[in-house]
Amino acid sequence: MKPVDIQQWVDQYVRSVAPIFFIKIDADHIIQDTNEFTSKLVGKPLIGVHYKEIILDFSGTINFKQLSENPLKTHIINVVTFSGLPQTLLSTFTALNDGYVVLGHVDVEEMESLQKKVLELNNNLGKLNRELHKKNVELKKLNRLKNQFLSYATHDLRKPVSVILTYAEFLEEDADDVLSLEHKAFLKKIKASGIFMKNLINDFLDISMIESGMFKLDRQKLKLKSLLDSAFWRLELKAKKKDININITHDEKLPEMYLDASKCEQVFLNIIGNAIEHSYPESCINVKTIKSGNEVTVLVRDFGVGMSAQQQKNLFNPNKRIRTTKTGGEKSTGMGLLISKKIIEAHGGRIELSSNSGKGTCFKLVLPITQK
Amino acid sequence: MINEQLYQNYFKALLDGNREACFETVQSLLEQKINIKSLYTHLFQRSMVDVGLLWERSKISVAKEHLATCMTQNLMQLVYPILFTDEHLEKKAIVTSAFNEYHQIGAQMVADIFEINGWHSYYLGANTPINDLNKLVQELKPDVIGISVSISFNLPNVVSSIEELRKHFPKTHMIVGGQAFLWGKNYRYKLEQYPLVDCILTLDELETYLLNFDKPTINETG
Repeated sequence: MKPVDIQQWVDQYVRSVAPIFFIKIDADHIIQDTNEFTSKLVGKPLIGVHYKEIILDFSGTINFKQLSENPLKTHIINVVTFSGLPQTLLSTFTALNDGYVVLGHVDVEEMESLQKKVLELNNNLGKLNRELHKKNVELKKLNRLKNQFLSYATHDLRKPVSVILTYAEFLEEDADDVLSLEHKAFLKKIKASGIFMKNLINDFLDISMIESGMFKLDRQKLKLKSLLDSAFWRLELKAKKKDININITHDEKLPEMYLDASKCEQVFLNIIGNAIEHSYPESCINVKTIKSGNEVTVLVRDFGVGMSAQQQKNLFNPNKRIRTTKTGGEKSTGMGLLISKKIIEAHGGRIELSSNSGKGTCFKLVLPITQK
Repeated sequence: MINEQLYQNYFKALLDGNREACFETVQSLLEQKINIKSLYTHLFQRSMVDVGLLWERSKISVAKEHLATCMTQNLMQLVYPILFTDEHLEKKAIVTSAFNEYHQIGAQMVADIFEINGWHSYYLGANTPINDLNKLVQELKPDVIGISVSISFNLPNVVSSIEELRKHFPKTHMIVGGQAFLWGKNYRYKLEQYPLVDCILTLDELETYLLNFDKPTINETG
C-alpha cells in the first residue's frame, strides 16, 4: 500500500469534502482560489470575483491586514449563500506574500443551541395551539349556554310584560272617567315603557335565535309589493304624527319571490320605521323597488339627520352601540338593524347604506330572486 | 384506509420535507372520516418509529429527524377541529414528557386519546421539571398522570418523578409509556412494582386501560 502524504491528503480533504469556508484573495481583494464547499455554499463560480460579492461588508470594516495579525483568532463574517439567507461563519485571516487566506466554519455550539431553541419553540407552539382549540370548544359551549339562558330569560319575561300591557289597556279603556289627568299620564308612561320592554324582549329573542344558529326561515311564494304595503299601513300613523309623507314606487316587472313574510316585514318595519324616526317633521321618505337581473333592490331614502362615517362604520357591529339623533325623541333597543341584516343575509341578500350627516340616509336592501 | 402504498408515499414525503404532500394525505384521510386512533397509530406513530430507526442506524441526520418530528406535530394539529368536544366525563388526566425528554409526540398522542375517550386532558409538553408537574397535579387533582419517555437514558428520570409524585399523591393513578421501554424492559418491571402505576406501550392498550378505569358519569348539563 502506497504511504499517504498527510499534507496532500489534508489539502485534498479541505478542497473536496470538508464543510470549511476557504478563499484565497490577492492584494486587490480578488478571489484567486477556493474549495468545493465554498462554491456550493455561495452557489456561483468564485474565481475572479471581488470578496465583497460574497462576504457582507456594507460599511467596509473588514481590514485584512489588521485581521491577519493574529492568524489563530476567529472573527465573525457573514457570507451570502445560494438560499438567499446569509450564513455566519467563524473565520481566521492569514497574510500571504501576495494576498490573504480566509478559512471559516459554522459555530457548531451556536447551531446546536439554535436547533434546541427552535425545537422548544415549535413544541410550545404546538402545545399552545392545542390549548387554543380546547379553549375554543369550551368557549363555544359557554356561548351556547349563554344563548340558552338569554332565550329562557326572555321567554319568561314576555308573559309578565304582556300582563302589564293588557291591564294598562284595560285601565285606559275602563277607568278613563275616574282617573285624574295626572294618573292618565302615569298610565301612558306605564304603557309606553311596557311596549318598549316588549320590543326589547322580542329583539333579545331574535338575537338569541340568530346567535344559537336556530334562526330558520319559513319561505313562501309571495309578492314583495304586498309586504311593503303592509309595512306602510302599519307605519302610516307613526309617519303622520310627524307629518312625513312616504312615497312608494314599485318596479312593474317585480316577480313573485320566495321569502319569509313575517321576517321580511319585520325588516321593512325596522328600516322604514328608522327612516321616520330620523326624518325631520314635514319631510318625505322615498321607497323604491327595482328589479335588476336576478335581484330585487328595495331603496329606502330619507332626508333626515343622516350619519357620520364613524357611525356608519359601527352601525352593524353588535359590540358598538350607536347613538343617533331621533328627531321626535323616539326610543329603540338599537338591535333592529343588526337583526334586519341577519334576516336579509339569511335570505342570501345584503344591506348597504349611504349617508350624509345632516342630509339623510339611503338604505339599499338587495334580495336574490330564488326558485325556492 | 391507510394501505402500504399510501404509507410509503407519506413516509417518503415526510423524509423529503414535503409538507404539502403530507398535509394533503392527512387532510384527505380526515375528509374520509378516518378513525383518529387509526390515523395516529398507522400513520403518525409508525412513521415516527421508522424515522427513529433510520436515525439510530445512521441512515438519516438528526436534522432530518427533527424536521420529520416538527412536520408530524403540525400535521397532528389538523385533527384538533374534530378532536375536542364539549362533552366530557368527570375525569382528568395530566400528560407530559419526562424531565429532560424533548420528544413530545408520544405524550401528545396519549393526551389526545384521553380526549377522544371523553377525558379532560392537560398536556404539558416536553421536558417538564418535576416541581412544575407537582404544582399542577396539586392544582388540577387529576385522576391519572401520564409520563412519556422516548430516549432510554431518560428512564431514570421517570423513576425519580414517580417516586417524588408518590410522596405527595399516593392515591393518584399513573401510567408510563414510550419508545424507551423497547430498550429498557427492566424499567418496565421496576415501575410496575409501584402501586397504581401501569406501563402502557400502545394506544390500544391505553384505550383498554381507559375503558376499564371505572364507570364514570357524564357531566353534560348542555
